[in-house]
Amino acid sequence: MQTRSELSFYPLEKLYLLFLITLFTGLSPLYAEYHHFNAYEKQLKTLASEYNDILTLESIGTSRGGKSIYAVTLGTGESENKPALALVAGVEGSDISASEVALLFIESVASRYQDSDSVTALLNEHTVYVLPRVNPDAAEYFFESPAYAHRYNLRAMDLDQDGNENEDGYNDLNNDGYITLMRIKDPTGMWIADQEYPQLMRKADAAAGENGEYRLYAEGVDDDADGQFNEDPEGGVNFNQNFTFQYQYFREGTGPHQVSEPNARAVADFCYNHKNIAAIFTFSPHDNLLHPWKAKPGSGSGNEPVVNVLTEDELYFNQLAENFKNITALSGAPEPHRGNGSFSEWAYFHFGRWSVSAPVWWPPGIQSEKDTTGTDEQNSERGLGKYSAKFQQDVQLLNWLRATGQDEKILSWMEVEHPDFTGKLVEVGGFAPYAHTNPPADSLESLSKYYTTFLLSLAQSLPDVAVENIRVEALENNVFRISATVLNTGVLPTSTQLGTRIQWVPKVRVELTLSGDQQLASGRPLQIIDKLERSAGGREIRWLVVGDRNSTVDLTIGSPSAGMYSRTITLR
Amino acid sequence: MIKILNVLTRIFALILISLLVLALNRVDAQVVTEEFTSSALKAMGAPNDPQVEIAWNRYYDWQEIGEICQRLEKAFPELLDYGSIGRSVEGKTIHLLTVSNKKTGDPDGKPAMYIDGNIHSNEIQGAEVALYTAWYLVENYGRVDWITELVDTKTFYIVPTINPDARDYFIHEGNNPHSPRSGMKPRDDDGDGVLDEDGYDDLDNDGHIVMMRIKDPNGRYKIDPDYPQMMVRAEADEKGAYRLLGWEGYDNDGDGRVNEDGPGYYDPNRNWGWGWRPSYLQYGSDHYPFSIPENRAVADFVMNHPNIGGAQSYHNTGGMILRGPGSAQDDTTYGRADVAVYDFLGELGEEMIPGYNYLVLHKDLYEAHGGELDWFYGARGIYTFTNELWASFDYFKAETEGGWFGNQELTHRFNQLLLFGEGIIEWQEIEHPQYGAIEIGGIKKSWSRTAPSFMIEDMCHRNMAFTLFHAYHLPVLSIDSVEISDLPGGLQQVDVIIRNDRVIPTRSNHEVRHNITPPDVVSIQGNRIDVIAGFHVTDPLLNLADEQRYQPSHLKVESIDGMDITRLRWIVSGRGDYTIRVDSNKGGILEESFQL
Repeated sequence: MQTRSELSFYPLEKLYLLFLITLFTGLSPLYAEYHHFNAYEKQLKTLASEYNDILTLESIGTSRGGKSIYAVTLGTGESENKPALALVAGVEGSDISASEVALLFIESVASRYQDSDSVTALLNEHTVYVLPRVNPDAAEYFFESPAYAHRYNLRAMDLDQDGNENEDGYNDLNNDGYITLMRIKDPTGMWIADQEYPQLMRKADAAAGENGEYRLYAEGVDDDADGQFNEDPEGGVNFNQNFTFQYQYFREGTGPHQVSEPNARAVADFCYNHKNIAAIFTFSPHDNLLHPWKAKPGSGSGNEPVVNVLTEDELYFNQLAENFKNITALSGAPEPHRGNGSFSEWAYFHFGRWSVSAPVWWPPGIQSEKDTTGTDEQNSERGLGKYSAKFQQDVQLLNWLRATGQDEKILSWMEVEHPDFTGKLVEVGGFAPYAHTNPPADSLESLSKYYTTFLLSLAQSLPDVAVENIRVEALENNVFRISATVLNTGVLPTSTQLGTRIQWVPKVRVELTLSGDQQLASGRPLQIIDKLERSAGGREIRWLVVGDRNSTVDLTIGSPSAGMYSRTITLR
Repeated sequence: MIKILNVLTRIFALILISLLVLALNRVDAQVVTEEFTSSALKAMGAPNDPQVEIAWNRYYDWQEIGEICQRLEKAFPELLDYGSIGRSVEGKTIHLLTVSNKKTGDPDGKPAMYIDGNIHSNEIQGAEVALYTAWYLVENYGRVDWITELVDTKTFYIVPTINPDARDYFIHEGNNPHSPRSGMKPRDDDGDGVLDEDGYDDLDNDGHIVMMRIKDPNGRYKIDPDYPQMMVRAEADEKGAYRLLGWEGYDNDGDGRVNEDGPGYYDPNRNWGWGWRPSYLQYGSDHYPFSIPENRAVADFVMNHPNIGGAQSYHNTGGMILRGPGSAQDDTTYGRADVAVYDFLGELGEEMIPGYNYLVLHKDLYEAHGGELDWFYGARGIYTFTNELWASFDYFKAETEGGWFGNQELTHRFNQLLLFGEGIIEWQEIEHPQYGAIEIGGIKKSWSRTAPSFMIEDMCHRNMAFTLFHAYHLPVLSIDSVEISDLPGGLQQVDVIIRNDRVIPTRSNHEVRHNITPPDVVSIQGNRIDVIAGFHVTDPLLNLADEQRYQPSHLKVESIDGMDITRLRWIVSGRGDYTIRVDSNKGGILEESFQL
């Protein structure tokens, strides 16, 4: 049984220190605005030239819309052979805030190299990769009018398979620059305006005696006169539904097959090409930091797909989650998404890395009343509008917007003329697009500080191999016994347990290279260790070498994701 | 002087005679050739005087396949285009032949059959079958009516090898009959962080990786009493004489394992985007679907050619006509109507290719996730077969023991009686860098999975014939009838029947279920005609019809089923010329004009 202290992550006192440093190091308030693609690109280039000793910028691919997918490397020396943390942002194209926090993180880390001992040590020993905007096509919609919280790239697609592409998109019926909701007063509809929050629409609960009063659509007309509304807008494929884990065929936004999109392929290839990545943090609604994954003992054995975190890994994921809560003090995150081709789940379940994820932002607190007749989950499954997760989130957002004086993001229902519903009351309203996941730009900087602190602590928990107790014993006739103990001094194991089954996760190599006429009498010149845990005490390895006294052998140990260690040993 | 003249005259006469003899001989030669081509008995099948002479009793490498493609294009520019679907890992162009009569319509608009071979690099003979198909179609165009009609109305996209790098590696470098299977993209198979560092070693540099054995009185193997090249296990109570040491090679990287990380390894036929599983569940599936560029090239090509309704891939070995699914989970994916089409074609194939069995991959062979045939059907709704060329039946044209793959004894017996020993390398001593004095010997890479020279053409023809019938049964649409009847108020009712004269529907049931491709559209148009309403007639006897409210002039038809009809109805006003048009991705385009 492992005790908590053996597992504890970066010591708590140090964390707070780190946090204070983060809070008070002078960062200029550059980020009063969100960055559209050109500004984002310019900012990355500025950072790259300003911090060229520590920061490398590269384009790892091009989106369907012709925009670069950028990757930033923060590190020194042979950065590709040092254990690395990757931060991936913008997997949900409409979460521009994630992309902004990633930019702030880059600057915060780069600017503190040489100034802060802990950051300097971190970047000398480890590497940090940041992919700040992996779906730039979708992100760009944030800056367009009319605004619609678009998550798709610019793949030309016939979403409704009628033989025409993009022929029925959204229409800004009231010319307010936003695509919101559209409700049609109609007794055949299934929706009602909530009594307590008349601004909000929810499904009528027939069991509670409610009758539907409205039909509800996204704002638009039936451009192609096929009886459906907005069923074939521009694009495309959602990056965060295009990965292989629990990929869904024939669903809107998932693409023709897994990893079909150039941005998804670029990011996947980047991961496969950087074997030193040990952990990945993703800003994504597929949260496992505030809603940790639960193991299901017995599942995923043999030839069964692993769809739950393995018990051996759950322990460490729980510790990471605990650490996250301690540092960020965040709570009340929306119910996480699960299992639909997401990037962060792929990163653990198919790529075998320590993958953690949290949504970048959600409307803070102001908890609503809990339903007493069943769990939220059950009610949500029953489709009871009032208790559905979506409705609860809407309430939270409404309350927060009102409390913080952002009423302009609450769009009251406004009557419009609609060609497809002549003679009926048609109204347009709801929330301004993007309000659910993107806070005001001036709050991004303080938001980024929590994440920066956590990310730095995560980077400091990466595995690190070391060798202890190297002994050379001289036996007769120039025969020497060499023994050494290989161990992991990092917090996280050199591989996830799942990673020991996945061929793409680097294993620890132990290699003894002889010189001159030396011969190996026993032991293997090359040995592979699947996984080393810090608490496991290490692995002793022995060789018998026949060779001249005072000749040397080289011992090389490690893997790109656990660090490399080498030592020349003299036979004597 | 006279003497000299005499001599000169004689010489002159001699020259004349010589010329005359030469000229006569020449005429004789011409006469013989003409006789041979025009009046000698032509065997059924290949023409006596093909425009492109190709030997169908040997195998070709990538370069030679390209040359054959060029010669075909030069000889048949109206019927055949030589192009490429993309490039391999090593940058080779992936040859593509498009066969169709361009004069009868755009090849990309006709119902099409896709054919490829050699996805597993050691399974080479599929390329020859594919090439033979292209050659046979163009050489027999205008000679055999059935072929002529096929080339006029259908299109064949033929990609002889979709693994050209490793095809050449198999042919030109040391391999055994089962290697390399993969393509040439380097991968770390043994998880030691190094790529492809410990493959086979061709110890005697003969291009064949054979078995290694060492004399050992405690070994469990002995020489077979009937076939001295064959090693068999000693009886339970008998002492052996040898230990087997695996395939030719040594431990290149000092990890205590031999041949554990050769070129590749991934299985290109587990890398497709349907039912794909990560490599810990399906070995060889690689990073993600279509991470292998050759596969991606095929997938892109197929997605850009929605007219493809049938597909065939050639593998070896075992004499099989395989259909999906490769996974038991997909049994429900293959619905009843589609299985009926598969069964019709598969059973036809069993009859045409003796010794081949029509099988369902996961049930009758093994589970294989992320295979090519499942992607073609699952993701695109294309009826697809994989033929495993070379059957155990082929050895002696008889059912044999040892199942689909035959057994060692058959291979050796055939080698002795029909190959006169050529297929097997006799055991010979060699100095092994780690084992010392050992012996190597065994089956050549080109024997046991590939047909010998004299059986190649037969294999090509029978398998081609199967795919030609598959292509033949791609939809052929026609307007069966147009009936006009008067309605009150000067309106008229137009009843149209569209007929499909082949077994394959315009859209497979699977496609319809998941709306994979756009529906077929049957439209009516005329300058002076207004369409008031459009209907799908569901029961003509009870006069039941479903109205299509939106765009009634363009009726969306889910599918025009095989050997079946679809009934449509319009209510129109006006008079004059009008056109009925069928737009079907997989059924082609059909247009006819009428008068009202």
